Amino acid sequence: MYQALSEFLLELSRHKILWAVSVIAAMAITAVVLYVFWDLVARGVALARPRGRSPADNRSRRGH
Amino acid sequence: MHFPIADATVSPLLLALLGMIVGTMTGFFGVGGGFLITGGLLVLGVPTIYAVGTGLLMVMGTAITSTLRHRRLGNVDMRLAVLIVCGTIPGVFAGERVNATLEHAGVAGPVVGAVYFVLLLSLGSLMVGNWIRQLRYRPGPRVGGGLPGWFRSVRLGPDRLRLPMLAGARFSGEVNLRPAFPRAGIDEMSALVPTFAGFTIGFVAALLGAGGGFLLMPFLVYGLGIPPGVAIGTDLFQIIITGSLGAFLYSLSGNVDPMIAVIMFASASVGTQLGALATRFVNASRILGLFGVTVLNAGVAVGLGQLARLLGSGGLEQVSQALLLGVSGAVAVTILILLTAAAVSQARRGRRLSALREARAARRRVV
Repeated sequence: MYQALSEFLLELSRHKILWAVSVIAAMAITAVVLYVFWDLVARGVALARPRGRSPADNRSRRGH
Repeated sequence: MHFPIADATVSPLLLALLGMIVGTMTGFFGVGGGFLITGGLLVLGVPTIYAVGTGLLMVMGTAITSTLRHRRLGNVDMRLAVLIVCGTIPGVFAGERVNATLEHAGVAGPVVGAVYFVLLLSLGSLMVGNWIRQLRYRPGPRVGGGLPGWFRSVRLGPDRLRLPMLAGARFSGEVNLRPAFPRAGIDEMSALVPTFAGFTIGFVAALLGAGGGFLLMPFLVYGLGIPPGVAIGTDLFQIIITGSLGAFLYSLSGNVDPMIAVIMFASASVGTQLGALATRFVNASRILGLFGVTVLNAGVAVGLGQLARLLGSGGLEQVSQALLLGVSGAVAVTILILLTAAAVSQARRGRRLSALREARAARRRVV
């Protein structure tokens, strides 16, 4: 599979503009996908953890 | 593992480690880390031209992830970022042209090396010096005075621009050229200040083949007096533009290996999350101090690299690369330790609070 991927990339790199656009687009999409993935992980962790009250919550409870 | 585009054999584990270091520093300092990625890839045996091109692609990717993360944390002033980018794009093209002229004259290498060395060393010394002064005297924040005060009050051209031909139901036909930047804490400032700053930084960045984050971040903090967290987020937005422009140009010449970039980027994305999160827990002066140490170290490494080329010494070249990676790795580990310490202390506080609440509830049940 790695061999096939390498050959595909080598073939694609011969078409300059298509190659440049594909490389930039692939990186941008990977960046957004990874951000969404880590964001979901962080939300999952935050939901799983019991939350203590923040100082702001305590102040509003005391009526300040 | 063999990478056919760059025609280099590199261990993917080492690539992932380098990516993690770069990602942590990008999220924490708001710099693209181009100088570090290129240096690291050279040490790992990637040919120079592919190291630079792949580095720029990686800078773009980490900048996108970090900007999204910082935007979520409320650290990006979009108005300021867009004005900076308006100046950066023509600045990058002007810098590329000057670079090409220097290359044609055969003096690009020494000139770029010397400018890089002087810039990194002076910026690093300034920041480390400032950090040491703060550690000794702990002065209060200066608002409205000094350099930030001057930049905020300077008048460049008219305050309002009238465009009667565009006036309509939604647009009054008047553009405010001294807008407020609420996220950055600036009540009003000429829109031309960030645009000119963007142009200058884009010019120098393109001349040096870097993203320019190491110049913009100190300018936003020391020049405009913006809180470091917001300066980092805003600066990263500008790096997306310079990074993608550079990566596109290098890709056109076929000098980018996306497989190397993707492996490094996968681990860097973890680092950027942790680095960005750490900015919430670590105080501003410590962020600037660590950044100063990194920049100063990069300056020393560049100086040693130049000396190695002058003397033709391969050993000295390796020492400079090892210094660059070693100290940057140590800084990344320090950031992760600071984040872990903050997380542990927060978890302890949470446990204490929940124990207190449980004890109160038990008392109420008894009563």
